[in-house]
Amino acid sequence: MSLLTQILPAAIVAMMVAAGVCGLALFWGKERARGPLGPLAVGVAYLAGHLVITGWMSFPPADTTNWLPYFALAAAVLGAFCAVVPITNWARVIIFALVSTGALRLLLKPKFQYGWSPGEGWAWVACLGCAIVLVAVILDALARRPETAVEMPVFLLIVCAGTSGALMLSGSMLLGQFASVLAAAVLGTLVFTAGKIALGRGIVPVFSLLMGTLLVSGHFFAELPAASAGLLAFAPILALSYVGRSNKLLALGIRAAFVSIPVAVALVLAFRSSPPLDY
Amino acid sequence: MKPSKLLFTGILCSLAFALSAQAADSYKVDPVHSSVVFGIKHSGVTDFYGAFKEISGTVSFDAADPSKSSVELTVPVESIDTRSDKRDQHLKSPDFFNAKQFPAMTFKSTKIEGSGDSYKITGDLTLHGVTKPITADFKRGPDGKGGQGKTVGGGEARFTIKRSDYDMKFMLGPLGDEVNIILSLEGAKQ
Repeated sequence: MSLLTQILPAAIVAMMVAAGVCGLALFWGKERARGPLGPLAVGVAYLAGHLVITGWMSFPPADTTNWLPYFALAAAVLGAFCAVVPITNWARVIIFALVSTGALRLLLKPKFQYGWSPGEGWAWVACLGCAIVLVAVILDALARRPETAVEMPVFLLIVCAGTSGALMLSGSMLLGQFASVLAAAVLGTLVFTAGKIALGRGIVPVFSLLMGTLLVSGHFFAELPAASAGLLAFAPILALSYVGRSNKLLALGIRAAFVSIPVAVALVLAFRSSPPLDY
Repeated sequence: MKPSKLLFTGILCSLAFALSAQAADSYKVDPVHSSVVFGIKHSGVTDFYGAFKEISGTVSFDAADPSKSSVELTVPVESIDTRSDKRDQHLKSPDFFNAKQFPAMTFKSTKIEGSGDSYKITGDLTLHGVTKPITADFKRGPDGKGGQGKTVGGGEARFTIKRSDYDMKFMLGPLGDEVNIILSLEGAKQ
């Protein structure tokens, strides 16, 4: 009960904010608004939800996981920019890679201070940055499919819910709450779907960066197994599976089931190595 | 100046220098005989108590001029012990102390005033990456002889902090905000 009362207010605020911003798009003009407002909805909703949990934060934040709202805003601005200004895919990837690298360096500052040599640290940042960019490329491929108006939020929700559960099992309710806020923000974007608007490619940088940095936080600052983090990060790739010419609802169900498999395995792995909190 | 006067002045100066140099006694904190105990309200009912098993630091004490005294302490967060491994693990997680990001708590005094056995120690407490000034009443005990014949000294401070001041806000409500701390220090004179 106590956990629910902790999670719900932040999740509700995030969902309302995302739904509100997406609702604006319906009035503003579908085609024109969906690009920039999709990422802004998720970014601002995450910021609001995070603040409900942590309260106002000092700047720069002492706890590096409190950089996440700033990452959300940066990625939202990037997503909105890419939606408005036509740039090549390569330019998009390079800009996102730079933003991800900067974000990871800020997030992993304590590891640079207390654990890693500079060379070791930058090697980690480079590898993790590549992984986040790869996740973004997968999600971008998913966002460009014509049938993703409904599918995209569903797949993202499955991954977010799994991430939230895995992070809670990893010994940090707080990180799990942050993931549930991201899930609620994605849920809020279903307003788009109700208006038959696809989320668009703009959401990709926001989701990839937030999901990636949450999983990195879970692994390095809590007890999330690396295998769980990897399975959760790359679960959306199974949404690209070819499922034949079945009807759309059935295809959605099959793809959702595919995405759920690595998510479920990640949860089992997280459970098996979870520090017990039932004291 | 006559040679005898010069010699006398020299001896006086050396004596004064030696006395001033010896005025502040330096103590190295003995982790075995020092304690950091904390109490925090659970479910609004009563305090449960925990401790940190490790502490290190130095105390420089100038009995003649306590304002010249200083205290520096470091407490590793990993050494937390609340008699429940599960709870200790949770307390070290990002929900509370976030031990992997903030492996140690530190205290560095900025002002010490008082006399006899009662002192007020003001200083910067760094906890969970946040540094805030605190003031604690310190009751000094008499010096004694340690196991190896060394002179030992110390005392005890009791003070209260709010964990929310240090951005430790998880489960505020079910777990109290105010944390009562007892810091009992003993150290061997160096």
